[in-house]
Amino acid sequence: MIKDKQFLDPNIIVKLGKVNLVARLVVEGFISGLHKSPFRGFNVEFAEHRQYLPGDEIRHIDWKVYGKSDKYYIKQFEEETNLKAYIFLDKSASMDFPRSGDSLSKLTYGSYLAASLAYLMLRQRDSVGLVTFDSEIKNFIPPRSQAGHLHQIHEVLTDLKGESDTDIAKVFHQLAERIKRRALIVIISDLFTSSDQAVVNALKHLRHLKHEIIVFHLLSKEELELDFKNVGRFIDLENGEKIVIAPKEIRGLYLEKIGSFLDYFKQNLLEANIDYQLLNTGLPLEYPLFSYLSRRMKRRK
Amino acid sequence: MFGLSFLNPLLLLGTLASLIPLLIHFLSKKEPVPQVFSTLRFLKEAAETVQRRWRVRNFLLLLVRMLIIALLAFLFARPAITRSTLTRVRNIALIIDNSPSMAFHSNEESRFSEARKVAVKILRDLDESSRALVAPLLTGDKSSLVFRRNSEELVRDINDLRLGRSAGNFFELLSLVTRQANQQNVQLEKIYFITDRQQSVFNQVKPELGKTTVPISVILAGEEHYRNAAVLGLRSRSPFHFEGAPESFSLELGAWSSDSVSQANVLAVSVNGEKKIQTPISLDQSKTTRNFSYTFTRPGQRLITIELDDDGLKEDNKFSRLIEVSPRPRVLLVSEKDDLSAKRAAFYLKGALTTSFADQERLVDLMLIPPEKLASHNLLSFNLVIYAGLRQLTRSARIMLEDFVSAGGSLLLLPDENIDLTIINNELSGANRRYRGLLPAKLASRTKPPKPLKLQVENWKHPLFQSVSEARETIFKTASYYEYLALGTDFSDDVTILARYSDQAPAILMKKFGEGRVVFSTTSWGGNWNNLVSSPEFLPLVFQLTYYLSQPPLTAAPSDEVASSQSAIENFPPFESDLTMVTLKTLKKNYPRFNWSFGFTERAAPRNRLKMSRREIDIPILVMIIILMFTEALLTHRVEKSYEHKNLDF
Repeated sequence: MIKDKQFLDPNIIVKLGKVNLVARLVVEGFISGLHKSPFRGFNVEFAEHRQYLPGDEIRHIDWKVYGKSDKYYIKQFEEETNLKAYIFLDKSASMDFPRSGDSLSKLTYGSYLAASLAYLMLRQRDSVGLVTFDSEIKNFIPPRSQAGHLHQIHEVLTDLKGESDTDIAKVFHQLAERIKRRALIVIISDLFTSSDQAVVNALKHLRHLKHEIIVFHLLSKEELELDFKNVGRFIDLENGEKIVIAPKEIRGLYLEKIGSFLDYFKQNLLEANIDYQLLNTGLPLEYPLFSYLSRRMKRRK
Repeated sequence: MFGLSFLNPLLLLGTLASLIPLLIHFLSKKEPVPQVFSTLRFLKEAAETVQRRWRVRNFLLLLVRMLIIALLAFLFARPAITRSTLTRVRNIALIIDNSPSMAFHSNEESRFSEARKVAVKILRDLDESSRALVAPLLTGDKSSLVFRRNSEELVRDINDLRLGRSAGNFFELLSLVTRQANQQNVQLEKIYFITDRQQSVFNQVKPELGKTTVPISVILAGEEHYRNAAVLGLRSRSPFHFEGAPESFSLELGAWSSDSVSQANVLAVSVNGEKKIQTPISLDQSKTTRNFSYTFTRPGQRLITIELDDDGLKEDNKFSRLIEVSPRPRVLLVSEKDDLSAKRAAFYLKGALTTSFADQERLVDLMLIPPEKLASHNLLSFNLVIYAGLRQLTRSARIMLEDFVSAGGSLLLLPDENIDLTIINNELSGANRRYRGLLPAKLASRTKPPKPLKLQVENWKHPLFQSVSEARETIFKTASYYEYLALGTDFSDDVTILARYSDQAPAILMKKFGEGRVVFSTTSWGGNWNNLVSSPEFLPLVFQLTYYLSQPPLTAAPSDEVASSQSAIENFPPFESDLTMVTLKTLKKNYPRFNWSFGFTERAAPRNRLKMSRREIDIPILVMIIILMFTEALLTHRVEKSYEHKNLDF
C-alpha cells in the first residue's frame, strides 16, 4: 500500500514519465488508501431496503429478508451511473513552466492529473472525454466509458506541448456551444489570460448550461513565491516580452498582486457555484483526486 | 575670518576610501540572468510601482555609507575651525652667538655674518613702537644690555658685533636678559637665540630654562647633523677614514667645526682600551691627518676606539670597532722517516713554511710527524695536512684522513717517487669502494715525457693563483718536470684541474671531498722527478697552496676578521645607522620649550602677527557619524525587512 501511495508524490512522478503508467499507479495507490475514508461504497453495488408498498414490482422483493422477518422489503438498487465528464486541459505556453529543475511543469502535472482523473472515472464506469486548448480548441475527445478509450486519451496527453498564448474565454464559449448534454467539466489551467472577467463569464456560461464545473487552478511554487535570488531578465513564455527585475525588491507587491488574482477567481467562482481548487504543482496528486471525488459524491446525492 | 584647518591633512586622502562602497556596488553588479517565466503580467505591475522606490532607497543607502567613510577620514585628519586674530609681539631680546665657532663657513658667508643678517631681519619686521635688546653671547660690558626702541641704532649695534674668543654661557646671559627686562619694566615677549650650538649645550641649561616663562626661539646654524659625530667631519658629510694594519694606521679628518671653543680638542685612538695615541687638534685645522703604528702579533680580539671631541672626550663622539685577529694556520706535515725522497720533500717544505722574513711573523705553525703517528694526533685541530711522499697507505691512516677532509680539513697529497700504485689505487682512488676516494682519479702509470715539461696554470682567476696572477708571465716558468704520474680519465664533476704540464697532462688537481678539499700533485716534490724544489717558483707555490688550503673552503672571512700578518681596513664611524641623526623633530621632542629652526631660515616676524585660534570640531563630526551610522542601520534594517514577505496562504 505504501509502495502504491508513493506515486502520488510529484517528486516521484517526475521520474516515471509515462502518462498511462503514472495514471494507473496514482489511482490504484489512491484508491487503496481510501478504504478507511468516508467515501466507502461509492460504487454501483450500494443498496437499501424499504418496506414494500403496493405497486412495487414483485421481483424486487428481498426474499431472504422475508424469510427472516416475515415482512416484505424491497431491495432498492442505486441507479447505474451515466456520468459524462470532460477534462479541459490548458496547453498554452505559460503552462510549460517551470522548465528547469526537478519540479514538474504545470503542463506535465496537469497531464498526469488529467490521466489520473480519466483512469479513475473509467474505473467507475463513468464516461470521460478530453479537451486540450490554448487560444483555440486543439483536441476534442468525446466522452466514452469503454476501457480502450483510455488509450486514446493517453496518446493525446503524451504528445502535449505547451505553445501559443491563451484565450480561455473564447474556447469555453465555443465548448459551451458544443457540449449539449449536462456533464461534469474538470478544468485544469493556470487561468493566465488577458481578462480575468472574461474567463469568469465564460465559466458562468458553462454553468448556466447546467454543467457541473471543477476548476483546478494550477500554479507552480515559483509563481506563488517568486523565490528568485538574483536580478534576472524575465522572459514571458507566451509573448516573449522581456523585463529586468530584482525579484527580492518586488516580491512583496508581486505576492499581493497574485494573491488578489487568486482571490478574484475564488470569490467569483464560489458565487457561480463552481468548485475552485488552487493547486500547487508541488502538491501530491491525491488532493485534486479527493476534490473530484467529493464533487462526484455531491452530484450523486 | 573663519577657515578650516587640519592637524593631519594627509589623512584627508582617506576620503578616497569613500569610493569603496561605490566600487563594491559596481563590481558586484552582475549581468541579469535570463529567466523564463510563465507570465510577466504581475511582475510588470509590481515592478512599475516598486522599483523606482527601491532605487531611491538603495541610492540613499550608498550615499550614507560613502558619507560615513568620508567623515571618518575627515575625523582622523583632525579638522578645526580656525579664527585669525591680530596679535602684536613687541618686546624681544636677541641673543647672538659670537663664539669663535661661528666663524666657520661652509659657503661664502660665515655663520656669524648670517646670524647678524637674521637678527637685522627680525628687527626690521618689528614695528617702531617695539623695544628690543641685542646681546652677544660673549658680552664684555653687562651694563650695555638695555631694551631700546626699535631703530637703526639697534641695527648698527648688530653690525658692530665681533667674534669673541671663548665659549660663553648661554644660561647666564639668559638670566641676565630676563633680569634686565624686569628691571627696565619691559614686558618681554620673546627671546631669540641665534647660534650654531648643538644639543649638548642645551642639555646643560635645560633644568634652568623652566624658570623663565618667555618663549625662546632657537635659530640654529647648519643643517641636520649627527649628534655623535659633531666634530668628526660628518657634519659636512665629508669622508672619514681609518685604515691599515698592522704596520700603520692613517687617519684623515674631513672639514669640521666644533660646537664651542674649548682648548680640549682632542683626538684619541685606543686599542683594547689602552690609549695608543692622544693628541690635541687645533680649531683652525679643518683638515688634518694623523699617522701612528700598531702591529697585531697575537690572535684574538682588538677593540679599536677613536675619540675626537672638544669637550673632554665625552661618550657621544666615540666610535668603536671590534676586530677579530685569527691565529696562524696549523699545518701537519706527514712524511716517511726512512724514505729519502719523502724526507727531501718534507725538508724543503718545512724550510719554506717556517721561514720568517724580515719583521714578519712566521706564516704557519708547523708540526712534522711520521705516518704511523697520525693516530696520536687530533687532526681536526689542524687546518691543513700535507702528506709529503705518499708511497703506501695503511687502511687506518686512510680512514683518519678521509674523516679529517670530510669534516672540512684540507689535504695536500704529494706522491713519492717509489709510490706503490696498486696499494694507493686500492686505498685512495675509490675504484673498489662504494664511496669516492680521496684521489681525483685512478693512478695509471709513471710517465717519462721525451723532453722536460713546464707548468701551465689552468685558471689564473682561481683563488689559489689570484694573488700571483700579475706575475703570470714569469712565474712557474723556471722549473722543469721530467717524470709524472699519468691519471685515468674518470674524473668526477667535483675535480678541478688547477695546473697542467705543457703536454696537457694534469699536474695539480683539486677535489672536493665532504666539506673539505684534497689537492694532489702528480709529480713528486722529492727532487728526482723535477727541479721544482730548487727553482724560484717553489716558495710562491708552497705559500699560495698553504694560504689557500688553510682558509675555510667556502667563502672569504668576514670583513671584521683579519688574519695576523694581514692588513685591516676599517671605516669609522662604521655605519650611518650607528649614529644618531639630530633633526628638528628630535630637537622639538627633546626640548619642547624651544621653538627650533634650522639654517637661519627663521622669518619669525613678530610684527602684527596673525594669531590663529583653533577650535577642534571632532565631537560634532563624531556625532554626525553616529547619526549617519544609525541612519544606515535603520535603512539597512528596512531594506532587509522589506525582503521578508510571508508566502501566500493557500
